[in-house]
Amino acid sequence: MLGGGLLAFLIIPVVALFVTGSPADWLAGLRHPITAPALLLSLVTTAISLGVLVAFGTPLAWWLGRSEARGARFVETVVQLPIVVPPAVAGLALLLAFGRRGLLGPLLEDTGIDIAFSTIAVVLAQVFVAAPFYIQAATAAFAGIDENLLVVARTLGARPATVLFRIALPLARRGLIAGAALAWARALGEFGATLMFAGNLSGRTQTLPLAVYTALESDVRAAQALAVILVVIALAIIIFLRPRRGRHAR
Amino acid sequence: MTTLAANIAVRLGSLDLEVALEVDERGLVLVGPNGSGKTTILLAMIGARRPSRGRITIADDVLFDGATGVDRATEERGLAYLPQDYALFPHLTAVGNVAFGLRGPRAERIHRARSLLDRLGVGSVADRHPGGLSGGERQRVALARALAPSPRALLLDEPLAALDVESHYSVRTFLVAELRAQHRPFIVIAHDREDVRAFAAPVAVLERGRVVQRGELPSLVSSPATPFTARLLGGCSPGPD
Repeated sequence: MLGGGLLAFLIIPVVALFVTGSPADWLAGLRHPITAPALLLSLVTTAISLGVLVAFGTPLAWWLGRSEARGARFVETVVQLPIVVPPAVAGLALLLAFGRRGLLGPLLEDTGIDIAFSTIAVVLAQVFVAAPFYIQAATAAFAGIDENLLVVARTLGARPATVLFRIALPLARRGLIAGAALAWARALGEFGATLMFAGNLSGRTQTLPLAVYTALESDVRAAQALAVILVVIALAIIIFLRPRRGRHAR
Repeated sequence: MTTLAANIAVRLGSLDLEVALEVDERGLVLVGPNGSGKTTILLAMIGARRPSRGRITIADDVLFDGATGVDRATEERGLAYLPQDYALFPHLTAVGNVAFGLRGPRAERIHRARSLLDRLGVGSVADRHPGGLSGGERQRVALARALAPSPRALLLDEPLAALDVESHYSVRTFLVAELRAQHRPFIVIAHDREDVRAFAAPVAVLERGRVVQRGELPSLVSSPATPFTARLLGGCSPGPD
């Protein structure tokens, strides 16, 4: 009974998003001038963020998952930090680190890079908040690989890189994809850190969630249309990630 | 005659291992209680555990030498390792597993892997994944995979432990014949007196990281040095079939 109440509480807002507007309203919302640039920016920046995460996060997760060093456990804890830090605090921290007057500001200024309130800042904010989701899933996937499989592969003449690409990555594939999907969803929904660190500039830093916030002030239909897009994407990811029966018996 | 020799010390948690072993084509059966360091010896030989000191050689080739800093990578040692659970790659078919260790064009590798599976009597399951194989089939596939790159020696960790009673005997007969036919040094870890007898090779008894007795089976049976040896080999008929 109590559980049912909570379930209803979780479902009703999502239902409200859909039933309080008509398809005609959504179409009008989609045609709103704020929509297309925000959608495009969100797709581009989250794709870049995901690429950065996979490229840099996979080797880190491999090390975290396979190393028995005490340092690895410490790093694993540090990597979780962005999950518990409030997004607004993350945005402030990024600003204080990479902003013009931040810790690395002078260094970046010397090289002619101005990050804050740029599209790069959007990507950095997304990477920062989404990283734990990918790294955590990838670390667990790599840690779950039977050590003997890797050892035997080496005895069969495979170099470490070959073992990684032909044994470890295929075996960890499901975990890596799940982690990447969650990280991408988190990046797509990123709001607080982006607002603080990148601002809310149409076409440059105004992603879908920021556009929802902005549209709410002028045209609630546009806000709702954008929200529906985000919810549909979220639902697609949940359906994609639902537990499936394994193809290989272990 | 090729000889695999290890004179090594390995510290691993509470295990303080210090052994000197020599194996030729007659093979060696390694016995000992759980935690005595049997698997660690094999892992040190293939380069998956680094000895704190000592020397590992095969023929005239130095694989590890703590004094001169030689520590050849696992993939360069040419030692086949068959872990207790066989460690077949679950995402590859049987033929894919065997072809993994072969070099050359893909079609040729697949062809050679298939003929090796045929020779070991498991050609009919070549296209199945390990999950769909019986214990005996898995062992044969794993053995085919281990033999594929023509290793200089074979190290087998309790190759019969994962088998059910029915297949145990037939797989053992096959394995013994195959190891004899290979004419390569082999070490096999066993924990069953009948298995020890069936391999018909010199025996080394390991306890708490030390070799406490070694020799031919009959002499161990007639004068066991420790209660463990007496218990393990007690009642064992002192000769092969």
